[in-house]
Amino acid sequence: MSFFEANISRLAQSDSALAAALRQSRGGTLETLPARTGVISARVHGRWIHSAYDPVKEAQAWVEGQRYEEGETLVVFGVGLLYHVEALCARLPRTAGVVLVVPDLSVLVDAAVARTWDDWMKRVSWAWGATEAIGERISAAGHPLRLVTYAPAAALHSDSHRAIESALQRKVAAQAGGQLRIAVVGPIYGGSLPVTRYVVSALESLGHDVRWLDHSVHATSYHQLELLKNSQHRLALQSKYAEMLSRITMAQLAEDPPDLVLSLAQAPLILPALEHLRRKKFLTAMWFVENYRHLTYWQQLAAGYDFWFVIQQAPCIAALKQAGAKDVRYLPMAADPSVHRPVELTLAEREEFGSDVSFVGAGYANRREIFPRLLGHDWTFKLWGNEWDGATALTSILQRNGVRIDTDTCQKVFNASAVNLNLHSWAGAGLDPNGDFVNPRTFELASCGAFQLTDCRSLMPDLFTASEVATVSSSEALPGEITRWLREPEQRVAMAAQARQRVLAEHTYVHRMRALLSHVGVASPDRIGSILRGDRQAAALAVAADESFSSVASTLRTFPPAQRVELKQLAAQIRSRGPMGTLSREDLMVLMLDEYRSETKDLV
Amino acid sequence: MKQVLIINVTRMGDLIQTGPLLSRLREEWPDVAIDLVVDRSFTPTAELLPGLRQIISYDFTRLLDDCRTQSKSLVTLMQEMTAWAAPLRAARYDRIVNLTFNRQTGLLASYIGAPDLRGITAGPDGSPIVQNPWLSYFTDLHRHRRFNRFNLVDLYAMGGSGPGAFSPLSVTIPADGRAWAEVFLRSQDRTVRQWIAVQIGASDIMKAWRPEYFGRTLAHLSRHSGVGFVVIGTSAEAEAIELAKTTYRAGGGTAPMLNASGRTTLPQLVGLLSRCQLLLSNDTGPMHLAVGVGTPVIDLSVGHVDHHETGPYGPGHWVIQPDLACSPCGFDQICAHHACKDRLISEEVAALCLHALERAPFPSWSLGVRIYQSSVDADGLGSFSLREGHVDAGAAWYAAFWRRFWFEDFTGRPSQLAPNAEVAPDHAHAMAWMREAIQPLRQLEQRARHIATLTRRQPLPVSLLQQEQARLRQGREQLLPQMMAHSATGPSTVAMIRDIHNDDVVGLTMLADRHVKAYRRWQQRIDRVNTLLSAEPVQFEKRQRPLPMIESAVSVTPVSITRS
Repeated sequence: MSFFEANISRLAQSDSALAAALRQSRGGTLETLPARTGVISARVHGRWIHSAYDPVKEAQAWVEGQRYEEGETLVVFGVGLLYHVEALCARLPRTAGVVLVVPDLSVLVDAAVARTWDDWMKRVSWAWGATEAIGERISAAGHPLRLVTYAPAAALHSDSHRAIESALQRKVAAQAGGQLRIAVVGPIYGGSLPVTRYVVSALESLGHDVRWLDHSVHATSYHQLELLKNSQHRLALQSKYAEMLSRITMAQLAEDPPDLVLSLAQAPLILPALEHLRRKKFLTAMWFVENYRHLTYWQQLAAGYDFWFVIQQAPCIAALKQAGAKDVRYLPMAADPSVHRPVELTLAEREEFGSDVSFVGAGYANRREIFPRLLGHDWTFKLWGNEWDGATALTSILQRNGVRIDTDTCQKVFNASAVNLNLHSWAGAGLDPNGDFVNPRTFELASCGAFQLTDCRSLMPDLFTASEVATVSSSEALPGEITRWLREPEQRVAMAAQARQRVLAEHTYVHRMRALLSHVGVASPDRIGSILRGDRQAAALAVAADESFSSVASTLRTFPPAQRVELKQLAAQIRSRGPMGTLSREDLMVLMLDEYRSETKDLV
Repeated sequence: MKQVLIINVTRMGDLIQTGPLLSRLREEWPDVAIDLVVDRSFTPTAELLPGLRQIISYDFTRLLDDCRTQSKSLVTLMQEMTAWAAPLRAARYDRIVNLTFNRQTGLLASYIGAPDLRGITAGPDGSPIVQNPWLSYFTDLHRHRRFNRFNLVDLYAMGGSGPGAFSPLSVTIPADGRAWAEVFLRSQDRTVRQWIAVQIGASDIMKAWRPEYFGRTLAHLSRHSGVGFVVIGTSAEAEAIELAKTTYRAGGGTAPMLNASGRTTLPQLVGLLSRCQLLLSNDTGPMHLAVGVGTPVIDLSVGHVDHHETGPYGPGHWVIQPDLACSPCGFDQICAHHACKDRLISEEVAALCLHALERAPFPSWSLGVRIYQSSVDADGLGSFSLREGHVDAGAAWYAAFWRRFWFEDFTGRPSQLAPNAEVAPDHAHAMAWMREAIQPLRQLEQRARHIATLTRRQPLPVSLLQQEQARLRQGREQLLPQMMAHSATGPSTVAMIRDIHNDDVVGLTMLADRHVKAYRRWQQRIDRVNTLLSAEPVQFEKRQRPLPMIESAVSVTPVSITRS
């Protein structure tokens, strides 16, 4: 009997539908050929899926690098010739579940033809079929799921894997009951400061316990350093100051350790501090809401954070990974509809803030070069914002002498202008030819229900359609586009309304934070994932404690069933019995562990 | 067979200083089996201690991280810790001696349980209490530290067992470590006759002498032929060591200087120390290792370090202490100037090194330091004699007084130390204060007794009881500041405060009875101080006691069972 027949017959005992489907399928995706050790290896288009020397040893080495916590089910991405799955089954305890994701049956056919499957395959559940079916199959495994990827094989079906992972994240997001404790580390000043505020608000609205470590209170001192004329002194002291703020952050984290430390771009946490946090088992994430090409300090921090979220796609993700980041995900900007919303303006306000064309933002080089060309037309043009010093050609349209515009004013300008220009910043002339990410202003304008004319961005189509946001492909075309849109008031209103609906449906900070936490939850099933699943709630813990710790189980049942209970809460409950209460040995154990929990000396 | 469990999880030096307790326990129970709980990182250190049945290690750092970040559910944490502690509970120890002075290990000790618990344990409500007078004394040492003359080693030994004959620190010199050290030194420089080990760093910057001063000291020593230096320490101390080396070279240092820091295993370090003729060191774990292998030590006792507590134990060592009003500073002190370190003059430190190497007479000293020589006193305890410098007469008098007092109070046996030959410097003032204090002290005891009576009434007179407790508390709080302020009453008042908060019983009446005893004990101690201070000073002939030889180092291959 051939390998294929033997393997399929064995498979039919556990998954007859899959066995039948494989009989109907054709292989041919993998090119199989012997490795140096004599066993079969495989490649696709000349790229090796398994080692050309020793696939067995390679699989064992891969397994060594995988994490597993008791009670978890491992979901494996990447099929190949299944050497890694076999090695994984050999390494894991018998109770551990293994689900293999099969996005393409032809690869599995090749695997069945190439080599025999032994008893290890009885332990494997096969998730196959359409993306949704695979997602369902995986979710049905029930246990905490940990995703592991055998990258050489998984690369063949990366789109399918992304879709499946997203489906799992959506499931986590849907399950999430809140109750995470999150410390948000904000910047001293700058564009990510308001974003921090929106992030905090979004996380709170999701029901999490959020602490904002707000470093904007140090801005005055920091700006004083900018007044130093000697650049060496200035840079040295700013560096020392950042280090000091990093230490302050550590002290604040030590006082009340969170489940997750979420930094926003420019957060003053330096690499040694992040490394120390990792040694002390803190989970850290960074939402880098900056253009990675302009601000490059991520290179020094890449290896420090456990999770990176960025507003740019492939090149940015690849660069961060090359710099040492382990987990990088795309997470575009968003808007906060409670802040950025349509407002009714008085006549006086319309007079003050309104114009045919407006722009709100800082005086970057490309804007300084383009905007003078928009003067002298038959439309009114108002320019709002700061850092326009020396732009003499624009003096006549610059409002309020170029002071920084607050959010409230911004919103009024957005609502009062017929065409809101939204040109992404760039250091060159004209429009950024490599513009990829979509700036916050795009989402904020849309959330305000305001019409905007935006420069083309490669990531825009995934976020807004052409019927939601108008775009312009060159600076030369800009005057013509403005003229066109000023003549289409009804279409402007319709597009703005659709853009706002899109934001409300998909692009709020709540959406982003849900996605962020879902990813972290899927990637850390024993920690964030476990909390989001509700495993740390009193009722679930009481059940888990029933078998070995009856006294603790009883105490846990005195809490509301859905309340998250950790050592701190349980110990407080035990202590609340007062000096005349009696302690069981289990109680002593809880109090001891709680004393360890409250130790802070080694953190700062 | 008796079984004893010692819990000592925090520092290398503390572990080495546990050695005499092991000897004392074997004196108390010749067939005793002693197990030791240590942090996993200190297992190699524990393996140097001879005579342990088992070393039981745990990664307490990981436990702390897991608990603090809540990376595991509380049930998982309990399962893991319970599984680890199960054999300890099953062992049914006769005594547990907790030498780690924190709440965590106190709760662990109570969790494991034994008929005789010593050190910090958990009271009936889980609050920390301290069992055993010596270990209570140690817990509160920071409150009367200028009068303390007990070394930590003796407190461990007497607290964990009882008084007994002097027993030196003793660590095993592993055969492979000794062999490595032989090769290391022999291969480096054959012109060196006397190797001086130098420990420049310390776990806490507060207790580290300045690296530049080390460099200058070694440069001075370098002018004497046949001397060589071996720098020890961890790789984390590299920056300080480099600074010392730079200063050494700038100061004209030419003698061989070997850098073994960060390059030795613990057995190799022990081997190296055993092969050196002297260790110049801050108060650190390696200092105690050197003492344990019989290598003389010069201890630079700066910052918050007080050599009376943690200085080199037993005869043959030297201590240099800055003479500065704030020195030694408080345990948690953060100092901006570290001025105490500037009091130690490099040339003088070098001169003492030469004296310790028997190459020069005892040097003369500037005014900013005190020089102590270590010894063993008539009670068989480690002690230090002032060889040079000045101490405050009042502090010295009361330190000697309380040293005898507590020994007799805690052991119930007379001290062999001669009483102070002069009356207390503040004799009249102290006597007047004690006469004044005796009445309020009696009132406090009477009130406590009255409360105990009230607790026995049925029904319980709650309101009256609360009033009386408030009065008692008020009376005590009024008296405490003055009692604490006087050298004649402060230390026993510290003991009373510990007594009154050491609630190891359950129930109102038992608690009240316990407090009655605490007030009575306080009053009795003050009475005794009063009697001793009233007595005429005893004139006695001062005579020099011969110092025991150091024969603490034994060279055997360690046999220890480590269980994770």
